[in-house]
Amino acid sequence: MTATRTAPAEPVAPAPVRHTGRNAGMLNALAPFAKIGMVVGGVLSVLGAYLAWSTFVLNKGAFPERSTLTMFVEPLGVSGYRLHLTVLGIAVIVVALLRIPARHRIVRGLGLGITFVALLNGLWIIVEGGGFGAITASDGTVAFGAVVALVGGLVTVLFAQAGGLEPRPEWTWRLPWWAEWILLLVIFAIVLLLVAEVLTSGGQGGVVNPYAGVVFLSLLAALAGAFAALNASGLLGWVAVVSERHRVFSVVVLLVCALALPFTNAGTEYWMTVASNIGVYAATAIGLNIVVGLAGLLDLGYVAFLGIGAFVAANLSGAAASVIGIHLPFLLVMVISSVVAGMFGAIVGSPTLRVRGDYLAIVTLAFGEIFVRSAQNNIGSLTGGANAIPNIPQVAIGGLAFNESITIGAVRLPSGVLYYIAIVLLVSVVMLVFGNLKYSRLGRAWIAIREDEDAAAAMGIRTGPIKILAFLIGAMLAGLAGAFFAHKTGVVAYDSFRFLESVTLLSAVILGGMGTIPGAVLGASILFVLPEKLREFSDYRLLIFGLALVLIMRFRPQGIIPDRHRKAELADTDPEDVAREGPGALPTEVEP
Amino acid sequence: MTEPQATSEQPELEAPPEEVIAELAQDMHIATGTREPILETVGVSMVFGGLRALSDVRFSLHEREIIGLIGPNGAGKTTFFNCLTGLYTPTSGVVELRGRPMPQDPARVTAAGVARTFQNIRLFPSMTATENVLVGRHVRMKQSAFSSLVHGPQFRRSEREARERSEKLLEFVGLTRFSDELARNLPYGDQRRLEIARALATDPSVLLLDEPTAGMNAQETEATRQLIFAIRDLGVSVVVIEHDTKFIFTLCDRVLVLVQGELLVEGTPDEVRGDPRVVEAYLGAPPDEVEAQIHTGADPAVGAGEES
Amino acid sequence: MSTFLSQIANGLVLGSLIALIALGYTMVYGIITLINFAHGEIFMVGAYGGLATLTYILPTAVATTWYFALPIALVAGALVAMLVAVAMERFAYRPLRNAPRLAPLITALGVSVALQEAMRVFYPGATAALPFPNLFIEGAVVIPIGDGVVIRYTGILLIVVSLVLAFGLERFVERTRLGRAMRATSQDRDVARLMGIDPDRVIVLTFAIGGALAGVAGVLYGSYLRNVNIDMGFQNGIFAFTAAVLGGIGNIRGAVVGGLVIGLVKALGGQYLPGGTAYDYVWIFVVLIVVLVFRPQGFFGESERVRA
Repeated sequence: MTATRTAPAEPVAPAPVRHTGRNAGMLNALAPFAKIGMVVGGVLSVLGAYLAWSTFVLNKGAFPERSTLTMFVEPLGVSGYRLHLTVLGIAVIVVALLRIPARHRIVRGLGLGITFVALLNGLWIIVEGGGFGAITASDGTVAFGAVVALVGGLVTVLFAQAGGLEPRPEWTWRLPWWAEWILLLVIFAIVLLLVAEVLTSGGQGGVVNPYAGVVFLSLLAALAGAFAALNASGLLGWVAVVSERHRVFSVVVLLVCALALPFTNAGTEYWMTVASNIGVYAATAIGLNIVVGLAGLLDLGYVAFLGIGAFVAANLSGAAASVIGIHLPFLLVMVISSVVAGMFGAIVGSPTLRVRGDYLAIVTLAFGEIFVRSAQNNIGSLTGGANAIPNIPQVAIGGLAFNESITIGAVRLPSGVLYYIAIVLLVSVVMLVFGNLKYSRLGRAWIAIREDEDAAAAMGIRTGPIKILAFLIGAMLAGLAGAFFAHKTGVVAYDSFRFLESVTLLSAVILGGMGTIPGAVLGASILFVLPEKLREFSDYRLLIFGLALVLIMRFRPQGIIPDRHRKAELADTDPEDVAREGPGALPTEVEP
Repeated sequence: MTEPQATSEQPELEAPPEEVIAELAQDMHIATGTREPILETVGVSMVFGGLRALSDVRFSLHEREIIGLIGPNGAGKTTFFNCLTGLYTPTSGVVELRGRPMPQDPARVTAAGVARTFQNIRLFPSMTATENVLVGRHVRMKQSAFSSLVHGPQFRRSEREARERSEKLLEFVGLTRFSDELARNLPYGDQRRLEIARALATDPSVLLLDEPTAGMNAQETEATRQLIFAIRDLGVSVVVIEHDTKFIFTLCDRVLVLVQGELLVEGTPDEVRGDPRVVEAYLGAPPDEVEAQIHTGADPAVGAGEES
Repeated sequence: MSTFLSQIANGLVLGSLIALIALGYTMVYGIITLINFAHGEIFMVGAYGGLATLTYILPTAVATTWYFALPIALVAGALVAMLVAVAMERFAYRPLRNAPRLAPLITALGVSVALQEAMRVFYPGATAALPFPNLFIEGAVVIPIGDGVVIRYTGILLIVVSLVLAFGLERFVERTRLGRAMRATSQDRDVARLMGIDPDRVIVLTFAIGGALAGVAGVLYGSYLRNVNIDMGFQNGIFAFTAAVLGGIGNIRGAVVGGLVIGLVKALGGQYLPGGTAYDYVWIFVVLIVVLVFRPQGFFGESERVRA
């Protein structure tokens, strides 16, 4: 598919926008004032950033935030919400006034960012101050910053919407290859720094720093707004195309950046551990993505394979509690764990070939529960029951234990950095496996089975063995991750593999976007970083999680990074895109 | 999703060009020049519970033949089709493919060289046209699971060959411009052609078409007719179920008429057309009137009549 | 011998409870083909609703007199459960009526988690198990066999109430106008609409009835076991779903029979099969797997008809 334009044609006088659907009347009425409205919104946002935000002094914790203006207090991410609002607001004004293609869509993205930043910080101040007075007026102090900024954001979004959302432009610029290489390098380096910044913003969550959560969320909101704007402008799409053009180079650079994380300010033992955990679950999620995302087999007991891999590794690595008293080299253990888990995958897959849809979900749930109960009861003395299997020896290569800190030249890398590197490599391998499978005969067969199993069979696809293969390969990947998990965490307990973990994994896959590689990683990252950062909400974590699932399935079932197929399957047609969608879905009645 | 796709263009109505047919025929390498029947049924009966859907149906298909299967609604045409594709096992009688019993598993039937399309189009909706055809190549591609994993030389070679064949097949059915379009976005007539392309990708000796012109106008029907002749030129033998009798009579070498599960008449289009039993079975109206209708090409299914 | 009979008794009591919950699963699946994962949580919510009424709303004197407390608690539990069920349908499931199957399933999972957590966070003291009063006459029937087979009065109450409600439900579905509307909607929603039935209202009714039954079950569960905890929904939910499938999903009698069977499996399995009570519900999962793999239509369900 190629775009034929190098710059989207802009009519000399913009064609009047006609809205249809809900709120059409209001939007049509506001449309002529769109430009002014957006500028006003931007001005209000900047203004709001300069006003006082709270009528009292928020002076607790490591990052005091007073009601007066403080713009550039270190670290930037902290009191940065004022900075963010200013930047976003100015961007709104600039874009609204200039004739940039897709400006309404861009401004809407920026506006949403502004709105959420104002909302988050405002709400926090309300909660801290004990009421709405905290952000308006109390005890003689006036502090309308939050309100003004919020209004600014909403106004911006409203008028941007009224102005008519253009389709996302597709740019086809081509630079000389070395220029594109440099560009990619720079962009990925910036991404790396941003990731490090996001991870460390607000500091570590917990009792010591009650702000961590809201600061983190605020930064995230600002970044999301900027991201949405970049996406709307088509620049992100262009970068994606460029990186597609230089696929191998991009992958290498991404890998290097991932490995460079320990050198940034996120290079602490704490973050190495968090990152390693994310890696384990990302690898597992990608494995699940094969079963659910590609083959469409809903597996609600999938975490059991992670557990099997972990317990096998635990038993073969010389832990004192292991009844099999051997200590095998790490790589061999990983292979064995993977194979054993794969076998169980085939065992689960085989009887379930004729079971479909919801029933398959329940059957796999049942298998998962059987595993948990058996593990809880220390079946075969392999799982330690309630005592788990503790004190699993660390991986050590050449006498260097993985959980130690290492020093390269003058740079001291944090403890656990070797585990981090190992998991980055593991995830890369798993991603490679997934990518290769997806674009192959086997992957197409899986997708065909998912879309229409009977038609797939009519095409000569032997659905039985191929479905078992999906379970097998998926389980093997989980087994690999499990072996790693056992060593990194040092203890394996049945408790880590309950049904809730399966649900979480499935949610990671769905949230990130089923059937896509970055999707699973993104989903796993979100689901593991958020609880870390939002420690003060930890009590509500699962509640929010459940609600989030409901909301996501309602409003964006295809996830954040949708796979082309899934988007076509799941997303409702965006009314703005109606003209470009063809006739509706094919009938899918069962054939006699 | 970029440009608006061509939703309102006319479907390409010309038959595939000669060179395309010749090249594809050579690649597919189907016809063996045998005189033996490729597909044959003897005494096939099908009973569901108390219902006798098929009684003692005899049928044979030779290489490069186009056979039509007609009959009123409920006559058992689709049931017979399903027996021909191994979906149903006949209660009695045999279905033989090249002298050997028909496999009972749909996947193995396809591997043995019998492909079909569906009455209510079953494409893979969110796969592109090319991907749909590639799935059709699955059964003929040599690519092991390991190769899929590792993307070695075997993978690259088989992918390249498969894609080349897919391109040719799409060209053959006139859908090249939709190669990267999602199947569900295609106009109806083109979806049918895509389904045919996908079926042809399995290198079938026999292609079974289930109501291929349902919902089509006169132009599209004619284009389908040309396409089926071109398919015959590839060396593939075709069986067609249809309600549009005019279409059948101008297309097929032989026509079978099924009524209430029984084979009423079998013969050339002329023989069948002139047979008063056919007329009566379809319509229950005075033969002369209806004969006139049939000869002018009006759809005999329209009009008062008992349907069984 | 007396152990055996005691376990039979236990099994029947538990089984009746499971049957009540299973009725909700089976009805909802019958009408919108959705496995309402969160149905177990509705059962739990009903129990807590009853408990809250007893603890916080009723004056102590009333709460401790069983012939007032019991009906009030039952009604309260049923109402709370019904409200939650209806809200669930309205806000979580209805918008997804036409979405592909995955979406409502995940939503149901989300609702299940959310409900469980909401109870844990917002109900005072719910992080641990909470005591629940016995709402019936203390004491038991002792059958003089062997060491004596003890059946508590509350247990008998449970069995009786369950059977009465199940029977009532069947009469309702078979004999009343609304019941007929429910059956029609579950068989063919569009045709039912043509008959003047509003499917949305019927679906709400289904959820409401299922919810109420689960709520009653919850209160009785608490009364029998003398405590409630937030996990009770998940486990008993799976048992109930197994029962529904065992009996034939969509079938009311099947749900009751299935429930009793599952109760017996749990009680007897825990007593006599290897692993003891620690593995008792593993056996239920085994039953579930076996049924879904080998006879997904359950005892009373119909086989998939082979269509002609």
